Amino acid sequence: MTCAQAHDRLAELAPLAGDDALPQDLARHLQSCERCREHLHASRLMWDELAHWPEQEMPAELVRTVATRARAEAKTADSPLAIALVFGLVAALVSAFVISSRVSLDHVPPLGLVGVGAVWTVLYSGLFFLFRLAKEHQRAVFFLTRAVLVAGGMFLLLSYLSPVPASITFCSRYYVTQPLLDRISIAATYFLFGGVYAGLPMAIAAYVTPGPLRENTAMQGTLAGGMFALLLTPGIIMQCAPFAFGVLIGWFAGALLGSVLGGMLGFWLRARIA
Amino acid sequence: MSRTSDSTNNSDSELMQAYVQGDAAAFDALFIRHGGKIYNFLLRETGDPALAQDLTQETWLRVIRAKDRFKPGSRFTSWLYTIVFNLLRDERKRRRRRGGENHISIHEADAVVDENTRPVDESAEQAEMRDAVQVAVSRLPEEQRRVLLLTKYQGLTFAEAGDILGISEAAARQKAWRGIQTLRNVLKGNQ
Ligand SMILES: [Zn+2]
Repeated sequence: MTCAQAHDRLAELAPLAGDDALPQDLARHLQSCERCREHLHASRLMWDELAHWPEQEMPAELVRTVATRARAEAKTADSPLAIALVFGLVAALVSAFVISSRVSLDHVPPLGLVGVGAVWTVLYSGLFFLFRLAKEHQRAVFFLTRAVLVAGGMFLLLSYLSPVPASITFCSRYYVTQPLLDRISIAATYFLFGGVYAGLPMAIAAYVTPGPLRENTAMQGTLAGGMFALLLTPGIIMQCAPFAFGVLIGWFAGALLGSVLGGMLGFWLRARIA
Repeated sequence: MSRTSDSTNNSDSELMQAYVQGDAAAFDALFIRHGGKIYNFLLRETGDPALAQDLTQETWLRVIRAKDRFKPGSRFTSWLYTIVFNLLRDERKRRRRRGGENHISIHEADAVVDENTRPVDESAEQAEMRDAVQVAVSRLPEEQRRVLLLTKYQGLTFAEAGDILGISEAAARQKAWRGIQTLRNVLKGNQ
């Protein structure tokens, strides 16, 4: 081994710690060559010299600050359920307010209103909770819940612009739609309108909210539509109180079918066009 | 305090997983284990105690906020130093933006030595040598300096240092050796 080769080997191995083992050929060269031995020795001395840069204690204030911040962050991070409940309550109140501003709720007993409000809070909270929980780990669930929440917002807007009962009253007097509505029962009418009022927002939401494009758009649509129909139930019950039970069933069945079909259509269209 | 974080035998990765699952004491254990090391690394890397404090704090806040992104079973120190290096990169960018052409980047200043922390029993020559080493290290090319800091002071192997810096173990060894040779030349001139 030449000196140049020895230098190259040393640079490759960087045997800076004194107890680093050396390959045989290199060790043999070092034994016979004082210059290369000195080169390694001086390098190891330099490495040891670095130890004269002493460690310093962390300032006590820094330790305190990090500990305090860690506690604070842990507190907010540990209560996703509480956050979801607050969001759920606000969303339920807003929804009830929107409906009550367009439809008279005089016929609903106060206790019934509280019950419906509570159910709505639970449903919204569950969705928000799922939404937040799934954000990091379950992207597919995250996108589904987001589409459902967006659809919920659109349903409220639609109900505010023209609530279902008002639309039905209008259509039953309008000369084009009157003959059709005259021929079907009131429950069937609500089935029809319930389907459109649920299917339209769900289809649009499924189409516009970005997310991964899944092969199984039917499954996506069914899941999102099912969740959405469940979310609409308190609103349907509130508005149905003055009508017969058949209307309630008709409306709910229409909403469920509309949601699922709307969801399927929206997801399918998005996958198709992308 | 919970069962998991009581034990000092727990690996970093286990502690981190315990923390992700809501064991706040596991975070304390990790901070006790690595807080000082990170602070000293940043102190040596930046030469600025105030900046080192800020960046240490920010590093641990990022650990807290990004805890869900820690992959179970992966090496905690690699993840931790990746955060540190990202912060250093951001800080350098920020300084460059703020200062335009005339910026003083980390390490262009000579004032690496903090007078307040000088050991009392140190002789004048020792102090001089130490100051010279610190200035010389701080002026090394970035990768050479970082390999030396990670292996000499943070107790990492060349393979671990290379992993963190995104280079091979062989490259880390070569950079360390080259760094040592540069220091020898610089300090020979000083004496
Ligand atoms: Zn030789």
